Amino acid sequence: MRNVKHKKGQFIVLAALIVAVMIVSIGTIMYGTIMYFRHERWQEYLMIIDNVELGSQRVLEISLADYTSNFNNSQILVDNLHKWRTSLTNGYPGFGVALTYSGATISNGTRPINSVTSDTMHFSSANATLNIDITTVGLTGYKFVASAFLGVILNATDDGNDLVISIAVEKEDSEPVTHLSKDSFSINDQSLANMSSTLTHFFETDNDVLRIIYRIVVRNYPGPSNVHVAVVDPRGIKVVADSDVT
Amino acid sequence: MYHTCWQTNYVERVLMSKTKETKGQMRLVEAILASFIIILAITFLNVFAFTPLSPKYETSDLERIGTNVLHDMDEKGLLCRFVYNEEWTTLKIALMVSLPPEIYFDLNVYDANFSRVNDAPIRYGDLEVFENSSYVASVTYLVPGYQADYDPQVILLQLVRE
Repeated sequence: MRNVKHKKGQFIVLAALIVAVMIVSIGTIMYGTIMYFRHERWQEYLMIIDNVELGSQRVLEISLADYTSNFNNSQILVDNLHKWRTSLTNGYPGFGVALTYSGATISNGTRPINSVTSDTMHFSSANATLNIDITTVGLTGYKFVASAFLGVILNATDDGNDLVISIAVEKEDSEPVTHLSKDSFSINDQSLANMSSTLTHFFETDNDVLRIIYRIVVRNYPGPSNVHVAVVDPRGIKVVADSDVT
Repeated sequence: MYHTCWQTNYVERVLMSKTKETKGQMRLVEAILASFIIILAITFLNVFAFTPLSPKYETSDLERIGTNVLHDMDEKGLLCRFVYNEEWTTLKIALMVSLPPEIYFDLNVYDANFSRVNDAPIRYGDLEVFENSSYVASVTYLVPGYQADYDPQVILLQLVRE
C-alpha cells in the first residue's frame, strides 16, 4: 500500500517534468526559428523587391506618358529601363541588385472590345517583363510583368446644334479612370475647358465590366462630321480616339 | 469476542482516516511541486527568449513601418507628387498622419548625384533625438520620376521611437 502511494506521487512529478521538458524544447525550437528569420534580414530584401516592382511600374507609366506626348520616341521605354537599372544598382549599394528586362514594347492603336460587338477601343500601352537578382542573398530569377495602359471607347452623336460625346476611360485590368476634369479632355486639338460645354459622368455595366462613362456636351458645335478626342489621365498618359459623328 | 471485534474495527477506522489525511496532503504537495516545475520552465523561456517587441529588433521594426508608409504613399501616387512638386510641408504632414505619434522622423531627398534636393528639413522631433538615440532606423526608397519626366531621386527616411 505504501509502495503504491509513493509511485503515484513520483508519477505526477515525473509527468510535470516531462511537460516542462516539452515546453523548453518547443520554446527553444520556436526561438531558434524566429532568430533565424530575423537575422537573415528577409524583411530588408522584401522591401527592396517591393520598391523595385513599384518603381518599374512607374518607369513604364513615365515612359508611356513621354511617348504619348508626341507619339514619336518609341525607344523611350528601353532607354528609361536601362537608366532605372543603373539607378537601382547605385541606390542600393552593397546589395547586388541587378535588374534585367525583356519584351519591352510601347504602342498605341485600336482593338475590338469583344467578339460580340463591332465597337473598338483606342489605347496606349507599354509592357515589359522584368527580372530581379539580388546576389548577396542568392536570389535569382524573380520575374514579374509590368504594364501601363490607358484605353477609351468613344461614341459621338449629333443632337441638333450640340455634339454629345460618350467616352468610357479605363486603365490596367479594365479599371475605370475616375476624377477626370475638363482639362483632361481635348476635342479637335482644343481643350474642353476653353469650350462652351458640360461634363458629367456615370457608371455602367457592360458584359460584367464596370465602366465609367464621361458624357460631354459641346454647345453649338460647328465642327466636322468626324471628331478627334484626346484624353490625358492623372499619370500624364494620353490616348487619342477618332469617331464619326452619327 | 464481540468486544474485541469492536475494538479492532475502531482501530482500523482511525488508521484509515489518518491514511486519507496523509494522502490528501501528499497530493497537494505533489500538485504544488508540479505547478512549480511548469512555471519554472515558462519563466526560463521568457527570460532567455527575445520577443519580437524586444529592443533588439527595434531598428528592423521601424524600418518595416517606414517602408510600408512610403510604399503606401507611392502606390496611391502621392509620394511622387509631393517629392517632384516639392510640397515638403504636405509631405511632412502626410508622414505625421501615417506614422504612429511616438515615432520621430527625418526625411531627405537626394537626386541622382546624391545632392540634397529639399532645402528645408522635413523633420518631426528635435535633431538631438536622432543624435542621442541608440536605435535609429534608416530606410532608402527610390522613385523614378513623375508624369513624363524620368528623373530618379533617392528618399532617405530616418526613424526613432520616442
